[in-house]
Amino acid sequence: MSPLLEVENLVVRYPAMGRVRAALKGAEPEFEAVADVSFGIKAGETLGLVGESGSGKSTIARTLMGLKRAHSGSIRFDGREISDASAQEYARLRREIAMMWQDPVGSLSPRLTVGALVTEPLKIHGRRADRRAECKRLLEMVGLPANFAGRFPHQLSGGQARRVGVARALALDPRLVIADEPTAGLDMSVQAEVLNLLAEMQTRLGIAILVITHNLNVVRHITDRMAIMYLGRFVETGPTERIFHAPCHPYTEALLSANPEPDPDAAQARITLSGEMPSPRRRPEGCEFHSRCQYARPECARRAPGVTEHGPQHAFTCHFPICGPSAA
Amino acid sequence: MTEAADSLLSVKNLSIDFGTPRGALHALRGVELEVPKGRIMGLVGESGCGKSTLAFSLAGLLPSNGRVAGGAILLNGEDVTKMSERELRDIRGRRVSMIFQDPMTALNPVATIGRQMLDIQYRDAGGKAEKRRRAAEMLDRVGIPDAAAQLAAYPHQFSGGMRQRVCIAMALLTKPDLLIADEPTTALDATLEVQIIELLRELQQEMGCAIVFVSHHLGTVAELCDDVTVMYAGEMVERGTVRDVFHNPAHPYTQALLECDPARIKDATRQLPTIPGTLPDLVRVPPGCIFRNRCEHAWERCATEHPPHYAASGPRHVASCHLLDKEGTA
Amino acid sequence: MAETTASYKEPSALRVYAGQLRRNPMGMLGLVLVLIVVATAIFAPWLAPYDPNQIMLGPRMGAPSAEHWLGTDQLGRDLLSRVIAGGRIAMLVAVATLGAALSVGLALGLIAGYGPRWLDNILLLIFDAVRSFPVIVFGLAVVALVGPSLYTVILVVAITSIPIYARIVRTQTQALRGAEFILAERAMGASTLRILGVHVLPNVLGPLLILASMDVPMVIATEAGLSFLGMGVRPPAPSWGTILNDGYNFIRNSPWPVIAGSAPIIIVTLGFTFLGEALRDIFDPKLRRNS
Repeated sequence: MSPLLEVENLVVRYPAMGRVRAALKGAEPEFEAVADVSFGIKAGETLGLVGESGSGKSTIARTLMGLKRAHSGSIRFDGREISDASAQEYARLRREIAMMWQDPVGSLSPRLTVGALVTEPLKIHGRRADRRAECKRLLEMVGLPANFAGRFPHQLSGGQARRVGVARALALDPRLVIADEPTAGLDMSVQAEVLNLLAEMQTRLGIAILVITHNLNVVRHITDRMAIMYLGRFVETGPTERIFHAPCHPYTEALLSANPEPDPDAAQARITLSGEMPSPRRRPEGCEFHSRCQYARPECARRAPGVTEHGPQHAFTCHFPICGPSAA
Repeated sequence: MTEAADSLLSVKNLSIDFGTPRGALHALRGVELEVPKGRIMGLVGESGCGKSTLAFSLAGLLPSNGRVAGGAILLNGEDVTKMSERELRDIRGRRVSMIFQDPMTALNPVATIGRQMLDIQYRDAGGKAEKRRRAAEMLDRVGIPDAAAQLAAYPHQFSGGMRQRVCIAMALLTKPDLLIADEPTTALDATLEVQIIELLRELQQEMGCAIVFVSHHLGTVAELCDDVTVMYAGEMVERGTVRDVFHNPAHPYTQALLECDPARIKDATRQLPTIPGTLPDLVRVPPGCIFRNRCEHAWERCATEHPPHYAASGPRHVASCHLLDKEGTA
Repeated sequence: MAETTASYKEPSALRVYAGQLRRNPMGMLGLVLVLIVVATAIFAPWLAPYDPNQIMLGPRMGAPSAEHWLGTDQLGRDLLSRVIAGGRIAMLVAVATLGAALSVGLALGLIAGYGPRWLDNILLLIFDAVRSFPVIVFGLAVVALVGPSLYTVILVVAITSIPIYARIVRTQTQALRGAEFILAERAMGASTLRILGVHVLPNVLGPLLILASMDVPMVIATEAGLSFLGMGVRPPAPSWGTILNDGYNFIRNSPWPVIAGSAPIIIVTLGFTFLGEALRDIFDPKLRRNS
């Protein structure tokens, strides 16, 4: 089965400085926020995109939604190339790809009621449906009482606002939902509620979900596969369970260890990375992670590692992986 | 408590109200807290539990609509709640320092780091050169590379993680007895959070100050703190050493909170545990146990009688739940 | 979640706002003052006891009496009637001026704030150019060109107010432009017109209306000022400015004309300011009293 969404060699650039200044300095006027990224999502599958701030994960979401143009590479949705889609073509696509935004309350138009918000996609796309009935159906689906239709966003708690966001994303029966930090700013118990809801929606509706997050706990329980991003590139991709049990890339290992369980006696194998993520404007030579890697050897600073396949669907970019030779 | 002599901070039966258009909101009710010298106390709970209100009140900082409705905050035996603004200023920055969630807003954007670090030493002896040296030393200690040169830098020239290091340096420069850290790692990425936690632990061991560490992240608290206080809806529901509380949680809320931390759940599941229900209205606080409406063990007594602090597993481990009442009807 | 069995009926927005205004004493006072002024302006011909321009046979510069509640001016005209008629002119100027300034300022501000950068720069340049003239000097220049009249006053005040409103709308629009809910609307495929009309406009309109209601006294004062200088409303038409002007000339004879001319300006200023502040509290949903 061919993937629903297929991204190949995607490059997204942002201006680093004014063109005149760049020309005077003889510098590159743009930097690559997303550098040569490829992935696919099949219908009904969940992919997690994990990375810290500045890793380029949100840029990928914006590019998929057509809010930011790709510099090069291809994005195919359902077999059609969409990276160069016109405004009209995107209008149609937006019925099939929906997005959940990071800020649960801030992504809801503040002067609209919940009822107006969840039926907003119907209005935009001119669906002549019974909006009252649709609103009731959508709120029921995400577990909100029907009387919430009259509330305004500022009267909602974070978890309730998040449910409204889910309802709105599902209003047009999309085939792909992009969820940017679906649990950001929510309490632990509410996080779990939102994750359960997403998982339930997926099971019931068979949609594909792209989850973008820095929180590994989110990824672990609702994704089938995950991709770890560093400086706009994938450093490791593979089935979620496999990566959790045996990560190959040192960065993945460090991220996993930075997610401690609440047990003072648990083996405190926390790995402290030195320094911070470099700027994508000044990428390190060789392996881009070597400046923070505890296993780095001289070679890492000289030569960039290629992609190594490691069993089914599992790949990483590292000269000296920590998972040993391919087990599969 | 026996270690009263060691006690640095002792909060007794503290209640704080906020004035709202609907009436007084009872944000904290009868909170007890004991922080001995040189220990790290974690303050955990979900949003609305009052942990940040408590932390701010320890430094005598309350929003304009807040007021102490009862109880005392004893710092070295002196009651913070009874102090004048002048006395409070004297305490802040010298005996009590704070670091905040957002390191950007905690620093003055138009003054250099050096200028701000000199300013907070205004009470200390020594010339300008001496104070600059101390500031540079402290910056170096918190891991700012090329510290002496960075004194001339402005806050916006630092990344988020570095800014939080600067804040920690400033907070510890005056060698306080108590450091209050309000969610200091929430705004940071995971790999930076690890660094900051490690730094705090090292500095604490070196300088011997006590820390009140506010966080909603249980894993971090387990790693850094000696003791932990669990708060729910403005009340302290459980308190004890981290080991006692996290291994043998006595209060149903603590149990539920630990259960729904996804980091604990090792096997992939699509049905994570949650805590159904919502916080009670703190303007009209219901009688009895505050967690009753969300508690699966609740019985008649919980509806009428407010649970006192019963002893739980360890020597200093207490929890407010009638299930622990050994002499009672349970 | 609070379970309400009865189906939730959303109270109309107007009722919510009215309820909130009722709980705000200063706002209510402002509203009452404003309503009095507006009603007086509308019903001026019926309320005024005399023709404002009729010269009485009675005393000139007379003190208040049973026949002339506010006394008479230097020509023996009834001051109360003149004040009421002047209020009508003042309100007419305010409504026309602010209506024109608001609608043009809103449109230009939205374009500048949401449109392309170059257009924004051009509009800003124009706004600054217009604002660089002092209102009175600009007014005198226009009067010199087209002659003094009521319409000149309206034109001058409207043109000089447009940049103020446009700049506020522009700043707010720019702040909203990057807001996540606007991005969310764009990602759902909402048209630019829909985004501006449904999502940006309601969020900038509140502050703008509040500002406009606080500007009513400014407009009235400007009209009175220009009329005081003889550059606005032509005598014998009654304006609070001309009443004041006449009063100052004869202040040694009687203080009443000055009082009669300035009291309504004070009342209007207080009324619209109180009301404006109350409206600000109500229309800003983040300050709204709610659970």
